[in-house]
Amino acid sequence: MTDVHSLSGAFVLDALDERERDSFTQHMETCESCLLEVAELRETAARLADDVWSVPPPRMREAVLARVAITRQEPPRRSRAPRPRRQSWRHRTTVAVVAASVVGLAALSGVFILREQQANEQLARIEAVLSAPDAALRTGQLKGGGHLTVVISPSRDAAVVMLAQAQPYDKDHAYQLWKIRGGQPASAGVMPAGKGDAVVYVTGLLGTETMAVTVEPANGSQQPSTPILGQVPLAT
Amino acid sequence: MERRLSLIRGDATARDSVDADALLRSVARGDERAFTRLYDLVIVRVYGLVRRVVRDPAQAEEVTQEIMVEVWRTATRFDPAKGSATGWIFTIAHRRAVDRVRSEQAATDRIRRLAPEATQTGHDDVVDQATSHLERAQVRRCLQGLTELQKEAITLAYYGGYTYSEVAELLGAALPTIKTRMRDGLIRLRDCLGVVMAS
Repeated sequence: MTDVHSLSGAFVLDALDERERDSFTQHMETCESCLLEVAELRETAARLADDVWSVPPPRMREAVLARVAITRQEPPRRSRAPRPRRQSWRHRTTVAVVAASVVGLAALSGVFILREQQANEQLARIEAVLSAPDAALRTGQLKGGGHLTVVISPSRDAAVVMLAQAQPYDKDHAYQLWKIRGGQPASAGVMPAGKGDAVVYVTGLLGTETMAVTVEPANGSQQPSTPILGQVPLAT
Repeated sequence: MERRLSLIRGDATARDSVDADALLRSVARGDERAFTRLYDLVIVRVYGLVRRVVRDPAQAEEVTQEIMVEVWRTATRFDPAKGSATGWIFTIAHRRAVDRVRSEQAATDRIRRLAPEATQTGHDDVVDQATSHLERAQVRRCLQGLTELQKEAITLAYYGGYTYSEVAELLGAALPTIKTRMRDGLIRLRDCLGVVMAS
């Protein structure tokens, strides 16, 4: 076992035997790059659970909640003094699982749109974009909070745009999506009024450099009437 | 910073934020209602994963209950700086499921057939369908981007609960090869899924 380092993949897949698991855990104590890699690969492995869904019997919920009601929680672990070598990693802040949380959240809330426009048809179109061989993921942040995620498939000339956790405005205002081409914005859809989360299916992207979001009156505007809150470049 | 997302479910009741990270932080402070919401958010995936690894429904049920109670009990140890709440939960879930199959079976009969059993059940909730479509499509697409050996090494270990030496035996490949394929396969998957350490 000369190259402990290369065990990171097997480690996060829980595919090491106990002895190797221990030696790898020990190795990580002194290996800053391992910590980062393991954190990322662990998140990645966890995404494999996205593909396995099974509905448990309803009695399980009651059983778990009953046990929780009589189970004491462990005290928080006192954080150890950071070792100097770990400092830079710690300061690089959080693991952001862009696709996982944003896509998940946005999809959940996107049901408003999906419902109204025949859920199945819309899901099929969304699925076609997501499973296109050339589908690419682009993400951006919104001023004032929230994420903008675009999955674009040039071969289908379509994109799925997801707004998640944006500040919801009142019922007279809505987020509006813009395709920006040669510096000129054209509307790509108005999100439901008063909502900070939505999924929009967009076509006709040829030549579009950027997707942008503004806040507009509930029915949408011809041209953006407020500053751009967030944008995602589409060019590869 | 929990935002309200009023989700219309099949029963038309509104649901609060589905942000697993925020929920888990509330759970760490002893919030049982947050735990209930977190349970509803992750349970089909946790149970799905455990069933996939453990196979036996009765055992899967038992292990899943233990996992969810452990999530409650150890939520205080969750450190958002080190990863997402769902990543943390599925790490616990996978470890527990794997521990169960390894303790249950003698080493010799652990090499078992990996039947591609469809554990997905018809979930008639549109909300869940929408999520599952998006998430599953992405994971599947990314898995397709791996080499056959990378994909098999990863899925046998993750869904089958095998050690990498067992995977090597199953695939008739050398140990170092499998070890390496697991790592470079996951790295490719990570890049495809857009899992990043934000700076």
